[in-house]
Amino acid sequence: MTPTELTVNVETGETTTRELTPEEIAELTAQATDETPSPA
Amino acid sequence: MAVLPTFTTGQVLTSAAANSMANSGWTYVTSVDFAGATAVNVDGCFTSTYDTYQVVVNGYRAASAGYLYVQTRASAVTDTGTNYVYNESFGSANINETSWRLAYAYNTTDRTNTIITIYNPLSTATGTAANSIYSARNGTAAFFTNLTSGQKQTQTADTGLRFTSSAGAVAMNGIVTIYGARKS
Repeated sequence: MTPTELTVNVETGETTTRELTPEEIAELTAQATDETPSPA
Repeated sequence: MAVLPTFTTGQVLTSAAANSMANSGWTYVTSVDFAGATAVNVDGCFTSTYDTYQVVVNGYRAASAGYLYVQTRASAVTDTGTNYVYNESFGSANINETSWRLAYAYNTTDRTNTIITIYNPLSTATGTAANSIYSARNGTAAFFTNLTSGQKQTQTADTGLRFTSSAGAVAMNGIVTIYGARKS
């Protein structure tokens, strides 16, 4: 399934959904981390 | 808003009293069902009507394990700069970050719930701040509770939020409901 972005505008009441572009998917992938919280 | 009177039997309820009751305490702003989206934006949820907000995250989970990244938005544009600082109860401060980490989900079945308190999002004097306490579970293999407190290092008027996962471009589920606190 293609990653999507959901945007809700409270002022207008509009809800929009669109497919992320390959560039946006790449950005999200680049910010990914496998870091897991763990007690010190 | 005036303090409500103590109602008595037979008393006529005035519009002023009804309005006072309707607008007292935490007042509903909006609700968003993530519904499998990879990124979720909520614009226009912060206004001058309130200074303090509760962002109730109910049943957050994601297709891959990761933090719930939270960023601020202004005029429908996400602040992606290194303008965030946060500290988890587990460790030292993280400064110059590009988002807050305000929840965590291991998988698509074990749900994480939290109330994120947002302070002064529109203030250009103090900067937006956020607090969250949550628990995350991975079946019977892992469980932890974490308190995270964050602030913006820049003072901008923030009118919305963006939610993504630290796992990358993965589907998220859960419902976010936002309430504002009446000032008086």
